[in-house]
Amino acid sequence: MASAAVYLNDERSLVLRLINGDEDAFCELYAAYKNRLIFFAMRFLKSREYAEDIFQEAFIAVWQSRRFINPDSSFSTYLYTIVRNRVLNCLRDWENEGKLREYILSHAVDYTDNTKEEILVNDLHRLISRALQRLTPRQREIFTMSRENQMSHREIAEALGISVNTVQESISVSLHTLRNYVEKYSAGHADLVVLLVCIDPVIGI
Amino acid sequence: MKKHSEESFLLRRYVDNLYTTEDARKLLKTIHAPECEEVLDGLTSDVWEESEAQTLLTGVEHERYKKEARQLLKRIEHKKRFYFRRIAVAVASMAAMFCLVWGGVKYVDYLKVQQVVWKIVSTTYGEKKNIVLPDGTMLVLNSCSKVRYPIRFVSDERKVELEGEGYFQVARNEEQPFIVSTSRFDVRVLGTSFNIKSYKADELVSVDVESGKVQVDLPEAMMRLRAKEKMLFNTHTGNYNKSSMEQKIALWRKGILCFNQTPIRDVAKELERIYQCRITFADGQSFDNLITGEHENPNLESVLRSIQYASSIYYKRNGNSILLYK
Repeated sequence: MASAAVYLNDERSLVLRLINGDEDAFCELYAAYKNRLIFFAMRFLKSREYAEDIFQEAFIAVWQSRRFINPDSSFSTYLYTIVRNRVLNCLRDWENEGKLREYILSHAVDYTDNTKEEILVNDLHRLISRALQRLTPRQREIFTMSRENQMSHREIAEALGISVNTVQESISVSLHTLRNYVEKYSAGHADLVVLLVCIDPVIGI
Repeated sequence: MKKHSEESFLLRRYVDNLYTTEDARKLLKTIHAPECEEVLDGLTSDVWEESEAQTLLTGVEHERYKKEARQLLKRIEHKKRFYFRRIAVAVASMAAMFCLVWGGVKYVDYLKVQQVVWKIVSTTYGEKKNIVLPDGTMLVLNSCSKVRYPIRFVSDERKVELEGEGYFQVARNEEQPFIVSTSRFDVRVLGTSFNIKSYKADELVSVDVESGKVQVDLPEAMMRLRAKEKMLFNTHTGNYNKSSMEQKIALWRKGILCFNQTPIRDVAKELERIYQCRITFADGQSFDNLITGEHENPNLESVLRSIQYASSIYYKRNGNSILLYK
């Protein structure tokens, strides 16, 4: 808590310097938020390239409109709003094109390069519930609270008396396991699919 | 349970990379529907919260990202400079174009002015001329006078030059003032009738207004005259005065000679202009008499006789040479 307060205090002074046109402050904030914003954008866009672009555009906007930033409101919320809107606009543009981008296709569990054996949603549900059995009971509990009961990480952490970070880690491990299982059993070319997912999807084999 | 649970589960699975191509198609179609907004808001803010765990950086990443940020700044500033330069170039070329066009228009105007053909009409001794100017203004030119005017009035003023005496009936045009320029003064009007007498040889010059209003621009003064008003300017003393007058103006048009406190020397000049004679004054005598009188259909002899009668100035005539003496 104390370190968070120190960081926030620090961030406020960085933002104040940014407003005054301090380039070092800009670079610090850029570095501080890069991983987080890329992660966020990637979850929706499935493309590292697009996520990077949106992140950079967001920071260009930050620099160009720095004089209008309110130092007393949360800088992270400000960034979140910018990036979120850009991500959703990007998705809308893709939808207007009428076909799925290969990044989204390549992250789908039923994607293979030569066969489009689409699996039914029911199959996927069945696969997922089977995959859930592969998790440890604790992982399963946390994952169910999050994805089935739609509790926030903080709520889960409070309910189970653990840290938010632990919840976070548990869920990301579970997701990894599930993904692997689903891919393995959804298509005949499990190995290939795993390979595809590991390789940057933009390469587009 | 939240309201749009099905969409919300689908969205969650999409974000978790646990979706089929069919799921993705469905999702992209519905994601921007208004009823999805709440679900989407909830999910994006959840993911944003989850993403906080990603804030931690390795030292290497930190340095790399800061370098990246520097390059980004350079790009922004360069773009901005480039942008300003482009604007500057655009503005400069616009300005150049404007100057070119404006200069062209002005040059054409200049050519027009240059191309204006001036016309000169003059009268000799005893002669009178009726002239109609291009704008319809009527002008009666008295003897030994000269008017110079353009065959077209192109500028924003109608300017004519007069030497001698003339009676003007100016065609009204408020947009384009009419200006009579003489060696002593300018008369500026919109549309009136007036008489100007401005002979170079005369001591007294005058403007008589018959109707309307005129403005007289003297070298050091400006005077406004209304109907029935007269301006007299003494070129020797530099005095000028305004007076109202009773008699009709420009009686000379009907051949009537009219003197009103006129210096004898001006009378002599007038007579010379009308009768094409040469009038000299006897040496050693001063002639500062002022002559008043009206002569209808006169001849030279009768005018001289009446002057002799009224002012005791005698005359001796030899052909066209006349000597005045006391």
